[in-house]
Amino acid sequence: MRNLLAANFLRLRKSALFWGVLAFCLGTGALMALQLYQMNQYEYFPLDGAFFTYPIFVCIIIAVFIPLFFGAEHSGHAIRSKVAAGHPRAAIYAANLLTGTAVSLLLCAAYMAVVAAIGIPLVGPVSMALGQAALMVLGSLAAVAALCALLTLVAANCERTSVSAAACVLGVFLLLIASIYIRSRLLAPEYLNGSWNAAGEYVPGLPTPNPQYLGGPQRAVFEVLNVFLPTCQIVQYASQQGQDAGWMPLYSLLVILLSTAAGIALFRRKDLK
Amino acid sequence: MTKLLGANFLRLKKSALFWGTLALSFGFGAFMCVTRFREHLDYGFAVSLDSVFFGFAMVAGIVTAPFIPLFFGTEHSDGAIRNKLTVGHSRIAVYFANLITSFAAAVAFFAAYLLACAAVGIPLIGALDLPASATAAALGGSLVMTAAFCAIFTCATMNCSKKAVSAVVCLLGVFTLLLAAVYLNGRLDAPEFITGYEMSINGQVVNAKPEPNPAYLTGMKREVCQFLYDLLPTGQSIQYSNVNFTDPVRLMELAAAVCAAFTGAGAMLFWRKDLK
Repeated sequence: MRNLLAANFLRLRKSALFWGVLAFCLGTGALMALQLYQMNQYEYFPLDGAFFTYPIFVCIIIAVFIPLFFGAEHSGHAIRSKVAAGHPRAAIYAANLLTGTAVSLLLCAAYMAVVAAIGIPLVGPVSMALGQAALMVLGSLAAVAALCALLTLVAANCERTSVSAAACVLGVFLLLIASIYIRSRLLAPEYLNGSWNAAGEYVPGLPTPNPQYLGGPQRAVFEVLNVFLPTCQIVQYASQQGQDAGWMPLYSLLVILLSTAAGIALFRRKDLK
Repeated sequence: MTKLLGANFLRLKKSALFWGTLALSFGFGAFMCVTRFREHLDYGFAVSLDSVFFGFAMVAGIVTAPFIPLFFGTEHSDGAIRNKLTVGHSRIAVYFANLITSFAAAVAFFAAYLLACAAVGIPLIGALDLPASATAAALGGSLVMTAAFCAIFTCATMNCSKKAVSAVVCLLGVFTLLLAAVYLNGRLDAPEFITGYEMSINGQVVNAKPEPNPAYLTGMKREVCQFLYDLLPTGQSIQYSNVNFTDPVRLMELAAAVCAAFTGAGAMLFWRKDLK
């Protein structure tokens, strides 16, 4: 296992893709901090708006990185060589998962560091209390790690790098869109100070039930998805609205355990040709 | 060229990716119609087929972005392009045959979506309310916009030997362009004046004075944003899917220009490409 990890980190150190995504992350962080500074010329916005956006960027970046980096092991037959050298498949899977998670946490740290380095001197520190901010950071890192586990499951069990890359990128974007939709439906108020006419236009007036409000079993399903899906958690952390922040890391841990167990089971049976 | 097209269409006919995407397009059309019908039943909204019929324009880029690199990228990895050149086909003919095939596949996806709208939508939510001229303009414009998407993705696919990289580039590119179009749409839709409210003690609005909106774009900035919004195929996607466009001829001209620019650049780069 230690040898596998050392080999992965050595390959990482020489990977143009890794240095490219790290540079992209640093650049995006700097851009977000400078944009916030520009917005502060008209009205005060605390650093929180730029600081906590990293899970959104990192989840898109790792959807590209994990299938491309580990997919090369399928096409370059490195996995077969590792198995032939006597490493168990579960160890190969775990080493890849740990490497992917380490990269994503490093990307998060790089983003936060650059936003803090540029943002604090320009607009001041985050307005959130230190304990709450630490909880948000830890929770968001757990959500990113859960997404890593899901992406490793796809990348390790799909031999074609192109298919796993397309599936991961498309999947993450569609999950992010679905997460924003789920959140907007859950946040819809139960009553409106007005009503909707037949043409779907809003007419101000007395409080009336909101047709967009989710009730009953459908709301329960949406609430479960909202705390379980890593992208839903990421959207909540990025908008600094993680009401279930105390519990969400546990759900992330559950996603990591389930997806890793499923991934290892599938990878063990996989025909490596 | 005819032989190249024949070979491409034969491969298309046997491709699980093509039939899967076709089925997804049909399913998406049916899903949109059923969703509108449920909204009508649950909330009593007046719905018409207009709100879903042009919806494929919104997802045309997302559907073709993975399809084109995955389908044509195989020609790079399997050495099929080199074989085509070895038997005497010119690089330009290979490029155009792939571009035409990708456009034909995209039109088939669009047709599957429209078929679903007609088969499921008309019985549930009725026929189109739009005049024939607006329908023709939206459909024609959507086709030219789809051709622009195909030209962009074919350019990326034919000039990138690694299928996985071209798939990622196309997907990231289309989502980035979509976000850019949504941002531009938001800036252009900002109202010129904001109504300021003053509330009395009992919560009644007593004075509502319109104030200039600092986010409203004027002058050159507005013209540049409008031009970019019209030029981007994703900007056109939003306009066609909402059936909210003022000058379809201008949009078609811009889409044709994008198509010509990317085809010219793509063919030129492919002509010089080292196929190893």
